[in-house]
Amino acid sequence: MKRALRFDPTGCDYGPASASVRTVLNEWAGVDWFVPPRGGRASVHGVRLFERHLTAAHAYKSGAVDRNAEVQTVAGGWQRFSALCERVRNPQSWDWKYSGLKPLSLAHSEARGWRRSEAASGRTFPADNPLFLRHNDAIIWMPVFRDGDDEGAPPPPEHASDALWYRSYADMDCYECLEWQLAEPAAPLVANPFYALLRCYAEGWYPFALGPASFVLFAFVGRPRL
Amino acid sequence: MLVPHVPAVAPNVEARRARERLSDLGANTPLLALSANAPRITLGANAQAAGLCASDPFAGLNPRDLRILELARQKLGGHDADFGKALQALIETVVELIPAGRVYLLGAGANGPIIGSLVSGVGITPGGRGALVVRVDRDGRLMALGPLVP
Repeated sequence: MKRALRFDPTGCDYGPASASVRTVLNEWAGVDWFVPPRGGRASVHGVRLFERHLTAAHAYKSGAVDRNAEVQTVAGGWQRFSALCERVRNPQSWDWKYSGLKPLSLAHSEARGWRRSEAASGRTFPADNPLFLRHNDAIIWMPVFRDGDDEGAPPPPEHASDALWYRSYADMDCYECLEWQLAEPAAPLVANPFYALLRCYAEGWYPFALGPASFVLFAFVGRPRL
Repeated sequence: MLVPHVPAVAPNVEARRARERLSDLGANTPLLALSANAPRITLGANAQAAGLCASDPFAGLNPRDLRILELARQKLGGHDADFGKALQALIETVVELIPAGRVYLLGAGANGPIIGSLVSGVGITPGGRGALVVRVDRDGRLMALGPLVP
């Protein structure tokens, strides 16, 4: 299941980060969701990408993730996927994104002295960009994808809510990745901890954080993609 | 709780239009101006017609969204405010409570843009007076929950 971008990234100017922003947007739009991993479940590429994400995140902000976190791979179908969603969807306290990744993103922005409002002021970032709206000093992110334009087989109706929740939860990582590049345009994408995470999803490995030091990489069973 | 389903008007198209209108208006224009000529919702009548639960219109929202709405309401001093002020309060609250917190344009309702959380779909949109709290379903339907400041 793929989505269509709301705009063509190649025709837009994102200031000094243009090249990396275009790459992230195009690659994220190219993600085929909820399909078996590329290369099959035996492929370790997705696991390596996730480990690269953990290493980069820990290197930047040690408290963001546990460097020695256990990463377990799990394969299954929609029932198993939904069970994992249910487990992480309404956390009582610790939440991977809000407790780990978003503080990492904030730490990076602050260290770079980057603020969304300044980035969208027209000085370093075109005011008519397709990513942000301004409201006084505040910034509102525009949706990147068009609603209702999914291509490919949809999830089974009984699992659609979990699937779409998971995808929107993953979209947050795309926005973090973009902000990382906007805050540090000269940084290579491989140095961006969120980029490795996005590529992990793209490979067909779907991360779930069961706790600060316990992750599951879920893979759908089925015919592997080439 | 019975929650009304108000059909959203082609969310993807409307979002694009809202963005275009916002761009045209410039940085400091109150967002309410977007819907100056749009039909206003009369909240009392709308709430009755829609069957809103008067006792707890926000039952079922996750704790994070509830906390955000509560603090935004406090920032407004418990008084009705125009949508621009309500949006400012919402954005300030999100930034205060969530690291790297951000809000998203979720679509467009009858009276203007819907701005809120990408994950939960909960946001605010101009109402008859002040801001109306709504939820955008993943299938694009809009549910009115109640006024931000009751």
